[in-house]
Amino acid sequence: MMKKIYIVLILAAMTTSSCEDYLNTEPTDKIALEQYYTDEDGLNHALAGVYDMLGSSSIYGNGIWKNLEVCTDEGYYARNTQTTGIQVNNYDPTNSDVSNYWRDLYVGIERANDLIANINVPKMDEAKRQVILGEALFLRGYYYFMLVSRFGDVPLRLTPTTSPIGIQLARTSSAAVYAQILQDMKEAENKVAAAKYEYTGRVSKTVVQGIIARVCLQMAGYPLNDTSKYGEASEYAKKVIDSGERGLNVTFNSNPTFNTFNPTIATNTANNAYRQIFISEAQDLYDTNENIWEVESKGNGTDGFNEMGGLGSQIGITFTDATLAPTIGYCYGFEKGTARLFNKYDATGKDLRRDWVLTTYTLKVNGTTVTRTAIPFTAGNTYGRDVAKWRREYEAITPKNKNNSGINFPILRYADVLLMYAEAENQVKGPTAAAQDAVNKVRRRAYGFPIGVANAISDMPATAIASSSAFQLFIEDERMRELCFEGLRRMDLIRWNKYVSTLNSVGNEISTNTLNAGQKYGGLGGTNTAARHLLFPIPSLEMSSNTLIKENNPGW
Amino acid sequence: MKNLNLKYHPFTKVFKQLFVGIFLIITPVFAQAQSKMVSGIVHNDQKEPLPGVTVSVKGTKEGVVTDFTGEFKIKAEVKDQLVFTYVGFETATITVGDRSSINVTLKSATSSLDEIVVIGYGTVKRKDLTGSVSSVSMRDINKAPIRSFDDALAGRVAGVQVTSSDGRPGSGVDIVIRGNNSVTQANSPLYVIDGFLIEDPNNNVINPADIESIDILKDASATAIYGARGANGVIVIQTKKGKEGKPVFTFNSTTGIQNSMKKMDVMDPYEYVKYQLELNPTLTSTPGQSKTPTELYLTNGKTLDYYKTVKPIDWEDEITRTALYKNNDFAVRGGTKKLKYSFSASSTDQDGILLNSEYKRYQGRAVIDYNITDKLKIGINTNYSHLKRTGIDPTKGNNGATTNLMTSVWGYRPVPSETVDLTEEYRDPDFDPAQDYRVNPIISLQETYDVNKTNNLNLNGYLEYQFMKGLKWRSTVGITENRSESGQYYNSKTSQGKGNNGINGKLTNNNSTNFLNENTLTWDKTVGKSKFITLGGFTLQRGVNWSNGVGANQIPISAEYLGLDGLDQGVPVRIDPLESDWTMASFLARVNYSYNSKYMVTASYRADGSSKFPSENHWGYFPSGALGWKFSEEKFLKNKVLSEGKLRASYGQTGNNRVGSFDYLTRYYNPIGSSYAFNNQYMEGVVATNLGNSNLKWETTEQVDAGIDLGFLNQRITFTADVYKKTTKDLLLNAQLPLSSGFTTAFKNVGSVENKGLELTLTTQNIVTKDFTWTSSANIAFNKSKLLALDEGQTALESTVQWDNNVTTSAYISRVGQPLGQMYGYEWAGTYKYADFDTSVNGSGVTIYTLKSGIATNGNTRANIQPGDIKYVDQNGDGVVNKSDYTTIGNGLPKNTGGFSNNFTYKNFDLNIFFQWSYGNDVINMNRYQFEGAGVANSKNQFASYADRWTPDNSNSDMFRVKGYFAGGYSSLLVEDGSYLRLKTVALGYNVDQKLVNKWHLKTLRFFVSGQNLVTWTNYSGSDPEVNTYRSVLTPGFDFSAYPRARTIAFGVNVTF
Repeated sequence: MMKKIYIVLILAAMTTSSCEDYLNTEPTDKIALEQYYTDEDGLNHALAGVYDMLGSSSIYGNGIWKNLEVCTDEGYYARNTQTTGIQVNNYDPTNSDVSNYWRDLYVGIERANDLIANINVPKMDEAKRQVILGEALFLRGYYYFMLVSRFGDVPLRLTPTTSPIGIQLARTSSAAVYAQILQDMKEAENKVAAAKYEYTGRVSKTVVQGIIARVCLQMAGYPLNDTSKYGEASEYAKKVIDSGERGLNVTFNSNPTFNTFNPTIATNTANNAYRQIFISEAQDLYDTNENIWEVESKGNGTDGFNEMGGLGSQIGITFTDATLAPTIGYCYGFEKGTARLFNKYDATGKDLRRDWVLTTYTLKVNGTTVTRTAIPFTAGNTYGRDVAKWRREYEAITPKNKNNSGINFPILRYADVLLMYAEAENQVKGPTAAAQDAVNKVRRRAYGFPIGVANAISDMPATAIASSSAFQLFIEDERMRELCFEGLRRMDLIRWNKYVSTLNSVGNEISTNTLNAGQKYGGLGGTNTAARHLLFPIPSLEMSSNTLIKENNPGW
Repeated sequence: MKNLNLKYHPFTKVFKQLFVGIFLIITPVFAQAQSKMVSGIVHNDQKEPLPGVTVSVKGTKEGVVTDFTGEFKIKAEVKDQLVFTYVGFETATITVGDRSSINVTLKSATSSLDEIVVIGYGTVKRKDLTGSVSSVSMRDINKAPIRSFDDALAGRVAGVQVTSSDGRPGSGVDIVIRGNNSVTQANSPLYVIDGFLIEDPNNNVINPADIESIDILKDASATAIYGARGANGVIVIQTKKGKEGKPVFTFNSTTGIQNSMKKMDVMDPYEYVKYQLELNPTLTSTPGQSKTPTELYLTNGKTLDYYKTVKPIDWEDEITRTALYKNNDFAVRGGTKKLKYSFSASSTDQDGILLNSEYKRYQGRAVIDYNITDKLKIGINTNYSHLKRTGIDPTKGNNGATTNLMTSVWGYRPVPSETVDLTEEYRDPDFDPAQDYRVNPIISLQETYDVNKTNNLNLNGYLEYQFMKGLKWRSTVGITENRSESGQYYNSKTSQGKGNNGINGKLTNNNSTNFLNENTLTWDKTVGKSKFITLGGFTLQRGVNWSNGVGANQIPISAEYLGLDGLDQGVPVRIDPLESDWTMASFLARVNYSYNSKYMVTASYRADGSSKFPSENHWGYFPSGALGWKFSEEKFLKNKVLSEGKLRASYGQTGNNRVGSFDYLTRYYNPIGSSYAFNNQYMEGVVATNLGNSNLKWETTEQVDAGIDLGFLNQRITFTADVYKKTTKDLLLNAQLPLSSGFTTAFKNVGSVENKGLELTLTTQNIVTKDFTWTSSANIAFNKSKLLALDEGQTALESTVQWDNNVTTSAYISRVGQPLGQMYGYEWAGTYKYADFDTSVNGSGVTIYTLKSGIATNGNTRANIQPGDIKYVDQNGDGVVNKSDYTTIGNGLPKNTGGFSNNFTYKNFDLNIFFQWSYGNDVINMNRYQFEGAGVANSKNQFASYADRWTPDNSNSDMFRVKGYFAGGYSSLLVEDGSYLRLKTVALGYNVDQKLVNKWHLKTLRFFVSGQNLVTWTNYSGSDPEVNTYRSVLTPGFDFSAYPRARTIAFGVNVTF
């Protein structure tokens, strides 16, 4: 009897001796980093993950220009029912737009940190490895720039997160974060591809240089006020200009359709170069001269990918007919331009930009076709025009997605580089000829003139070049005229330390206007603006799970 | 319950006397010429006379009942046999012979004490039990017309809370035993089905008629033998086996009809048009936009009053139907000493009460036990089920709440169109489809293809070897194979098919295989008065899950007729195949010791190794111990009244490993959503999809339980009470991480939860006579949960409910020191009344209402607030209502739950009446948000209740005016008391007279009529208070667009032959 028991026990022991082996299972599908980081291709895929966050709907997909920074002196959120939320500067630290923006930037940083830490894992061409490392460093820097400029001091994490335990992190001073950004970007400058790509979605040397100029300008202004950075901004903008590989777009396809709504353009031979920039973005055409860096969007979502953004659909010329939306393109029209913006342009419409960035017509359905109805150029109509920089009519792909489009978003345009150069140059050396020339090139194109030939109509007036400060004020308006709705205005106003005063004044202007009572609601955001809105609040989700952040931003 | 006890005595006395009287009158009628009078006294074994004993003559209808001195008199013939029956005693049968006086002593049967209770890896008699184990009465459950046992489990057992999400056939059921331990992970119990351990079985695969017993293990002493997976309690299900004897054929057939329990009242045409005119008083529309209500309704001389005569379209009627329920099952069971068999097969077809929804099951089971020798036994138990569920889930919209089914149903226009038949049109032609996404719910239901097919095979085999008396080896091998295929197809008539993706469909497969091998050695030994049962064993288990699929968008209309077979014609959509596996290895041991069946000790220990944790944390160790003292066996307490008295106490640790197979690892992958388009070419980004935690380990629950079992009057009354306290620590919490880490959540062993509770069960045999019996069983359970701690320094966890894509506001909060899942938002305070405003008259003579400065806003801009607007309590008194005024506005967990079951028999009739209740829980009625003025959309109908809204003529109303809603979140306006008492089951059966049955060569024949969900008493205004459409611990009691619950009336027959 006992023998039998022993046999059973021995059998049992044999079975269980391999217990640990039995318990050591390995994942079969979603697997370890090493299995992807095998070669250049694997590394490029990891890099795509870092870029991915640029297009997140909380960042450039929608967030910045539709919600977070929609409220400026250029435009306002076009819903009178929106009385709370960041769109009208009436929100609190639980706001999900702010929280998702913060979250997604840190996801981008984490992915960059992961790539940087594991850059040497695959066996591959060393030169190509350095290019990828450069892009990852640059993107990490850019994401931190997006954070530090909006939140002030932020936790600075430069190594990947590998465990959920002990990962709380205190804030690092803005100055130190900026220093890290410049360090990363300057290292990237010498690693990334020296020449531009044939497309605009990838970072090359001139992208890095142009963005360094932007970072330096921000540092030079409020609240850091590190004025020494103007020189550096000028130097880096100059590098882009001198590279010779970028330039203002001056070519265009004639498009008579819209000119009929513009009283100053009689024929389709007029220069359409400015609008062509945005038409190309909708058509998925690359203009690598003008558009130095874009967030690439693609498709209509039917292929299962979601690499789209809301340009043209969330903001654009309102069009809400369900039947024709798949061909024309649905548009909510969530942003309207201010009369202040309208009036910053030449009153007679010679500045061709005005009638592109603010719509001159509305879209109506007439049976099975769409008709355009001109908006008369009356004083009342300077209010309430839809932001029309990006128009879905040009989108090539059908059916068009209701909420999103494949229109690319320009993060950095050559026009911006010229204006940054002029601004920095003026701050350092005053309104020099070089500074003037940079501004005038932008303006000549805007008026449809050859950019290399001086022109009294378009060029800066004498008053604007009389002093450094006059020049600065002119630049401030010119940036609005040229770059409105491109996600730059709020940060510009902040670095000029004019954000609260400008917003309050434009808010009052709109809400007390007597020309168009229906648009008075648009002043709510401006009048709500207070000093605490200079920085976004640290999201409450971060505060509650990261006890090392003791205090929120001033006023929050 | 106490009341019931008090009533018991007078009632029975009355009945007894009544029946004695009746029989004394009736008896002579049956008297026959050759019979003689037999008399005698019936005693119990303590020589005390027993009143109320039924004395009958076998094979006849003749019978009497003993009187208060235990005496009886009955007429009988010499060859007759007298049968003495009395509840709680063994039946005695005595041949009359030539005797005229027969004195009988009845032995106590103490049946409930000898009842076998299935515990982990063995069985015990209830009287020897030291743990807290409840048995479900399958006899009662099988009287309810239900598809799956879990539909009937609610209220049957104290401490087992059962909530189904809604009335959709096959919708999810949550079974929670003694409160929720886990905060973010599943709290469902471990199931042991014919010895096979499984955490998330599809209970629909089992035919309830096949179930022999369900035992629910509640305290740690009972569950710790299941170690790492026992913390949420264990449900042990045994299916029926063959019994020695001739083959017994059983046939049950049920046919029923189901109706919606309650319909929501929506506005009639008059109220609807009136509301529309208030909503949009514009007279003429802008060209190109939809017509205004005035243009639509008040043309051609029609006035508002005209609509009092218009017959409405009742959309809820149109989409609901009286649905059939059919169930047939057949079984043959029997066997010899060596070979026992049981074969059964069933088919169930349950139509849903919404159009195009159905649940079907075809199932078969074979059980064979074979004794190869006296010592060696083998057996197999196998079940195959094919399940098919048809129909969409109304709680899910495809693009925000406006597309949810019930939103369309309640919100659709009740006024018939003058030009078209609205019930035939895909959408209402009078409204702008860009603003209003609702489509005709009838077409949406009929045209959407949504079918889930499951094939489930379960196979368990065992080998048992008896080395010597008391020493037994048992090995089992089990496999559960589940293949589930889910297909959705949206043709050109559905809103999804008309959307961006065009005609589209997908087919996904979710499969799992689960393998288990268990080996145990049991040693029973009795030494004098000491009795030992020792158990030791080891087990291995492995589970593999995998899924894959195919999907396509933009399917050409020419291929539409192919349905899912035409997926190849469209643009393929990436569906990621997934696969994962896990393993477990365990060692277990248990000793049961009892001395003289008076003092009992149980100790158990289990070591579990799980692959779900990093190797240094593979193993977890789970001890338990329990003591029992049967004080009624003590000489000094022995008495006639107390037939049983036992005190139990237990302590133990159990675990929980409900995390993903590889959640401890950071895994990299290239999900489609992390792609980037370079140069207009997609490049899929490789990213970390989760953050691993190399310190992950078991969640541990410590439980202390103390219980008392009392039986009186020979177990005629039994009472069980248990108090417990569970503390769960090292919670496997899907913890919120600092967003600055680059991750949002990860699993951490942090936090702690406490559950305390009391469970009472009272079972009584109220009346027992020959012809009439009434037995009842009642239970009630109280549980209080408390969150003791969260992640590092966190004090609260807020949870949102995704009933609409755009909703990001927290609906629930779990604060440290308070119960889990409390409703969170503003405290509603009615409406702003005229008195809240200063008035002035403007230039045009219009009265302007300006909110008085001392009165807080509702969050809206002060100047916009008008009389009749919704009002909230400004908790912090800062004059503005905003997120800082959020407070606890309700509690989704009940204070107590319970059930009350009654069984009556009268002659050949039997009647079961079962009540079930839930008390003290709140429900967020989100439908009221949509349909009482808040979810404004042009043309959308509202509930009839909104007719009482604030208007200048009805300025006392607390229901806000049209467009008077304003909120950033939820409010107590939507929170309602979800307590209810439900007459859950009534089953009336008639057993055809035995003589007739025998004549027809049958063994038994019973006809029945039964009803389920018959009456519900509640103050809840929604269609059903038992609702949980977004089921999770953190978001209990949320009602939005639920599938209506059905009331079932069924007829059927049970035959054995």
